[in-house]
Amino acid sequence: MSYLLPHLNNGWEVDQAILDEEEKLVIIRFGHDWDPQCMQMDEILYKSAEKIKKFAVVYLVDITKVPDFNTMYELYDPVTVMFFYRNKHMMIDLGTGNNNKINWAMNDKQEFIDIVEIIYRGARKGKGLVVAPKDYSTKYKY
Amino acid sequence: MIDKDFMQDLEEEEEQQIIEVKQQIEDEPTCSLLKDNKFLLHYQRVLEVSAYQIQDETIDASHEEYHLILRSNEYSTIIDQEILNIHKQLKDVYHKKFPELEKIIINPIEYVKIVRLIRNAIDLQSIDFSSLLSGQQVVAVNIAAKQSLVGQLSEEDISLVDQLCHKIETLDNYNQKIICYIESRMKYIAPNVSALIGTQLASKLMAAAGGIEKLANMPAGNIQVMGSVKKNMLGMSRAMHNRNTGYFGTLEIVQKASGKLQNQIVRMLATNVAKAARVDNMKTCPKGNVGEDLRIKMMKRYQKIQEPPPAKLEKPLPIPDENKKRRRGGKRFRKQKERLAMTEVRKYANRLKFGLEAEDEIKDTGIGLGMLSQGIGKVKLHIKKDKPIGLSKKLQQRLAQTKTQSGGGTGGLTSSIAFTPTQGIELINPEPGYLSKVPDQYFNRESGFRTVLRKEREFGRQY
Repeated sequence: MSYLLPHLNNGWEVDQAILDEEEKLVIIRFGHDWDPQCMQMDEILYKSAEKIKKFAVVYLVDITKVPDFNTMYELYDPVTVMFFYRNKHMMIDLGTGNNNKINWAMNDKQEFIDIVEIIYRGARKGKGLVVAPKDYSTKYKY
Repeated sequence: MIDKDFMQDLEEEEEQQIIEVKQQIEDEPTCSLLKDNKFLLHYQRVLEVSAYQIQDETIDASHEEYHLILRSNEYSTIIDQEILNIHKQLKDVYHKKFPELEKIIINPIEYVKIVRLIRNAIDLQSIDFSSLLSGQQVVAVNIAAKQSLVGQLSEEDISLVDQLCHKIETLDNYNQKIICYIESRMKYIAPNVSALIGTQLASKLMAAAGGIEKLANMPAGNIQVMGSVKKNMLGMSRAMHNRNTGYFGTLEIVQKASGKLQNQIVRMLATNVAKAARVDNMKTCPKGNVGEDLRIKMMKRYQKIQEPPPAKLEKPLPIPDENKKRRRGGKRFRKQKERLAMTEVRKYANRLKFGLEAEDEIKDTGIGLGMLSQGIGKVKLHIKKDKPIGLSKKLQQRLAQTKTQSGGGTGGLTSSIAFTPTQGIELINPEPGYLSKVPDQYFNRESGFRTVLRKEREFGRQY
């Protein structure tokens, strides 16, 4: 599915993508196309991209091709999804402890759409941090 | 070729006589068409003309064969009726021998054939029905025979049966020939209908209807079911039995179609045939163009029906938070808002006068009397409505009633039970107008049997 979503090939493109979008939420997945977790996340992204295209846009970034953001955003996980609205990074309280990103592969399209909607609503109101509808703290099954 | 004068002479006579013949058949069931001279003459003529090909393009009133065709149509219906009559007689006679047969085999022609085979036999095992009947029917006949094939018919009965069978067979023969003739001429009688469904089916329809005029006057729904065979299903499952397709069921298009599609195509055909028949009746299009057009349109529509439905569109979700809450007005919403509105009392209870402390307060909650105990400045807080807000009209009315009854001052201290000196406790119905009507009782003096009352009045109280 990653071949169906647009890729950003260098840092300038990533910056432009985040700056240009004034009305929609910008969703960027950092990872590798060949990684299985990325593939799963890409599938969810693709399926929901059609539905949320009125208020969100999805981009894919390969972190070996574009290493500029690795230290800035601490991209050390196989897959990382981050949200930006009008050049501002949006934080989400997922219960995992890390509010900046989603760093695991989701498996439910509807869950993802719910999260995106909540972020969009919060972003429109000017909030910097939104609370996700579902708690992912037990994601790690110890 | 036939003499034109000869034809013209008989035209007027024939019309009269056809009506007579019809009348006769209706009045006397045993009258036979076979003895009728006019009919036999007509039949001879039909046989002769069948050999010839028509050279003109159309047949209209001036053509030689026009009336012949019309008469043939009428005779065809008369023959059908005759056959039915004779069949009824045959059934009555053969009923003594094999009563169940008439229920299994409904078609008169088939019935006659079977009767010919069985005649007076007691045992059916030696007779082979498979050439005439379907497997189901053979089984049904054999089983029914075991149960109901009673003794023998008398000599007279047998000869009567033979006669009737013979009559039906010859009538059927004539009918077939006449139908053949009509079919060959169908293109000229009803060009549009023939262009639409073919000459064979068109002639069948016209024969069944009894003429092009009658066919034109039929509603399309009737045309659709014309010719539906009355099959007897004798304990067979009706699950796979399609709804009556009638004459239209013989068409190739209809047979190829499946299920719901079959019904649709038959319906389309029937409506178009109705249209074409009307055009033919009025003779406005002798070449059959209308029929052709209808056929083309119908096939186009039929193609369109068979297409799959358009693919499902997945709509993207609307932008969240875009819908502004439209506040609605009106009495209903005003009432709803009233229930939750801030009242004067609560407003003042929430406030405090400047400089004074709150005196009474529920422990630490801050809920207290506020201004109400500190003095408002007004003598009385204005309560806007005395109607209780949360109640429906009915409840309000009931409340109002109880208020007016007790009359305010009594409160809950009096009851509606009144003590009268004569009867003790008397319950008064609070509804007004209770005692004004004479009560409608069963055993009222005034009510009773009308006839008895009348007699009472006449003869005094003797009853």
